[in-house]
Amino acid sequence: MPQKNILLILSHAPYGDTSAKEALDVALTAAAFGLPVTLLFTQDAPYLLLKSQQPQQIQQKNFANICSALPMYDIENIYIEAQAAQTKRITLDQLVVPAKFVSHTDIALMIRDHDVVIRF
Amino acid sequence: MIFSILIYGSAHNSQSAHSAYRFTHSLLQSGHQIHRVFFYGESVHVASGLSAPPRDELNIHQLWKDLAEAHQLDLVVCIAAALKRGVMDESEARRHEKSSFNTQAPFELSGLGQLSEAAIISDRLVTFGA
Repeated sequence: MPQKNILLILSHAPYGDTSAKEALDVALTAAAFGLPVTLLFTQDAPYLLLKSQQPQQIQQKNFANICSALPMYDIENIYIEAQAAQTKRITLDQLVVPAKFVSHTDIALMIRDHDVVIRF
Repeated sequence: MIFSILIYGSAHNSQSAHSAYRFTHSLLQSGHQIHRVFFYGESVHVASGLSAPPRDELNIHQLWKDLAEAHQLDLVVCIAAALKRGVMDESEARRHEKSSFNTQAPFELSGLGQLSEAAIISDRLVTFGA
């Protein structure tokens, strides 16, 4: 069976709906299946990666914990839409996990180069 | 070609599950093979046999049930997404000590691994979001 790689594109903010949680659950399961997983955080999704989030104040589980564990699941290809980060003034040193900024051109190439692309 | 379908838009508040139904129907008519249909997120409510829409409106549960029975489709509902929304089959209802259940074959509760497996097996995985 040919190896397939999977790109998950997240676009929702962490706590307003269940989209981000569902996307990360798919990522962790796919990685457990041995599929190479790439995560791309666009629009409001880069907020998931912030060290400084405090969701305990609204009785939610902290995404920073899940996101900081991604490398342990062999998910190390973590990309952030540069334009989204820029408008939110998010810098790489504020994040719980190593990530890279990518341009819209880079994103087009990422979509082309992956076998499976799922958007959340 | 072998297709799998991923649905995660709301069952009753979006076009998602119906668009996916129409697409799947067209694929079957065109001679393609459907490996699996995976219901995730809000779409798990499609699996509830207790939905009773007005007679002159679409019954999305019945549409999927009939299509699955006519073509032996594998309809998998994410078990975690389903249980937290109160969609459960008889054995899960018993396990969670609930007084009733609302889904049964051809809908099957199973894990997200079924989605990964579908992505691996299929030539195309087509998503129907919100």
